[in-house]
Amino acid sequence: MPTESRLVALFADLDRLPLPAEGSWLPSPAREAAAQRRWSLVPRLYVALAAVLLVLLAITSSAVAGGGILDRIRDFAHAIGIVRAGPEGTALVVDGVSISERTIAVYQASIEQNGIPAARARQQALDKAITEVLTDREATRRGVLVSDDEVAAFIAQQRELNASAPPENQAMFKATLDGLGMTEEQYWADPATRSAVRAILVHGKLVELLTPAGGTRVDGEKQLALLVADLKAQAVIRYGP
Amino acid sequence: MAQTVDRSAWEGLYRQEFPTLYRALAAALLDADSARDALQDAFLEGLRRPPRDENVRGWLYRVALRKAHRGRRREKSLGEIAEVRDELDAALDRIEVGSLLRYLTERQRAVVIARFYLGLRHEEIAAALGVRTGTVSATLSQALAKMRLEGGHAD
Repeated sequence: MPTESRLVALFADLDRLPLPAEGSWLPSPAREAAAQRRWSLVPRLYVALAAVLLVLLAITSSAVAGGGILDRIRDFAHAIGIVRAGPEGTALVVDGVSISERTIAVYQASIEQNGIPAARARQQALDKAITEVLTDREATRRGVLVSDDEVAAFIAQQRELNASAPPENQAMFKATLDGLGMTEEQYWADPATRSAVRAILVHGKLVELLTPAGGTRVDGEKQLALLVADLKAQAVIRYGP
Repeated sequence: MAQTVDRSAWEGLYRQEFPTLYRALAAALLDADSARDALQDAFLEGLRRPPRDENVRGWLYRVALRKAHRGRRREKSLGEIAEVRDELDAALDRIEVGSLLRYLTERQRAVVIARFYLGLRHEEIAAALGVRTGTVSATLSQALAKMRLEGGHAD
């Protein structure tokens, strides 16, 4: 008999070891409750650790760049989402323009729809909101306007496209709405949605304006990206109320 | 997004694997109580963080071994070193492999039991014990050599 088979046969004798009563196979409710209590400590430990790191980071950056430690801690905590205002509270202020947590939540939900993890989606949502404020102001300065009719037409077109989208995309959209606690009607009528649509249209018009003669849309996009980067570098951004 | 687990499905899998895993752990740890407690902790761990695309038996074995070691460290720190239960002792004495296992270290027992009783592959044992595949092969060779020496088996 080959060694492996002999060993398997030898070890099969372990089947003769007695088992405990079947009623004791599963953990008792008390044991399960104790485990639950231990697990509930884990997130608190992470939060405590994050807080320590936050303070260290704030002290370090403050030492390097100057400025109030508390301001830096608050800004950083808001930016990474540890601290958030209520839904109607202010998520950030860009050159004096306030953006609500609700707007950020709608943007974030829309970004998460593409499978982006929540933390990164929040970062992108904040960045999107900053870009929108700066782009909108620049568009106004250059005389680029988007009317309410254009916004309404874009939304109507988008809704038609959604209605004929593959079922999995529709299911994803429905899940996003559920996450936001909104119906489809509420979503499209929401100021945050309309603001995002307006931003898309402003973006398109600015790209057209910045596209050099004989250039392509890609050239226009590059010009706008450079312009936005420049505006961001000059903007005063504060997280939280 | 956190992965969720269907409790009844997980409980079904656990119950199905319990007899084999309990015996494997009891023989590896030479401690019936630790084996049962560790398995229960592994079950609870599975409720919180269900195994992903893994051999459930291998996963439960790995987690239970880890829990058992942690539990023993706690007990030792409290000066309560667990004693091998008489019933398990007697049962192991009645079977040939039981007496051979006593010549091995706990690590060697865990490896040979995983291989020849649980039927895990070298890679699965390596993952279960957090060691390299080469270490599993070496441990198996040493364990078999010792068993051959003591009992005239594994030749």
